[in-house]
Amino acid sequence: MATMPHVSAIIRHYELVILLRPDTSDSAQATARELVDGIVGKFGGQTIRWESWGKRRLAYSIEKVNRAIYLYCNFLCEQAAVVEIERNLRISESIIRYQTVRLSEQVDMSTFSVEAEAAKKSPLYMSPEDISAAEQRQAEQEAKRRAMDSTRDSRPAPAKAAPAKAAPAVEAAPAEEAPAAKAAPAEEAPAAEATPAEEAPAAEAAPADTDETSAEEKTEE
Amino acid sequence: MGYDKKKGGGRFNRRKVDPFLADKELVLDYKDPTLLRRFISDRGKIVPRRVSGVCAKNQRKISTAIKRARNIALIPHTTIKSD
Repeated sequence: MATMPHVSAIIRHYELVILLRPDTSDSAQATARELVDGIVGKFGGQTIRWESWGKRRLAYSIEKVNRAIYLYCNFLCEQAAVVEIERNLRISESIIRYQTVRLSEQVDMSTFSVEAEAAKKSPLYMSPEDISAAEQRQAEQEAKRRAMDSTRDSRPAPAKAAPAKAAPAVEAAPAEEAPAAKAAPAEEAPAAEATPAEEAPAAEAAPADTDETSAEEKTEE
Repeated sequence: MGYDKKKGGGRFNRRKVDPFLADKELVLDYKDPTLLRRFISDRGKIVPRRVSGVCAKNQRKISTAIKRARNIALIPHTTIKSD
């Protein structure tokens, strides 16, 4: 499929979003970038800018993965290059999804400003500092969640014991069961509430991630 | 046009405004999930024009943007869990 660049190929403007597995190393991310850069360069195109959107929670799981590293690339090249890029992206194991969108069908280099395009930022753009901060926050949250899980495991035992006692005395059962039933959700509730409450301050720090994470977590429950 | 007048059993419908015509600064982008969430229901469905009040031209753009965003998992196809 690797055709030679045509002399009079129409230069088009594209953008590409790549989703990588969350455990992809930095060097593997760099290889993905180089792959695209290399092909674009080979076909006489030009990559305008790369963006990283950090590790984002997916709206639905792809290949049994719930989070992915998002990379974004904005570039100028001819159509044949895109075919070649996509062929290579499909081969890579760490790439779980990609999407190329054509922004303009024909770029007039006399009016097109590469500088202006390079200065633009996507709504989800994250600076390297943002990304490291987000990763740190995520690690903290996971540690908290793990601590919470261990306390939650020890609690349900007494709640279950109550209905078992009530069973032999049939008449007394409804009266005794009722508080036991109430007690159980009451005990669970603070634990459940605590999670979003603790996430909130962290989420405020990064406006880009706020609504999605909290909203998605709610809908999934 | 619009629905300013009394319609049916004495119900008033407020005229809905296309947010993209009301605010020229607002740019539709498939890469902006917070914006797109305004045009999908709780279940992830695309909100019909008759509900959101978006003009026909913009509704077409919104619909492609939502589909692109769904493809890269920025917004859900559905909120019903399949697994």
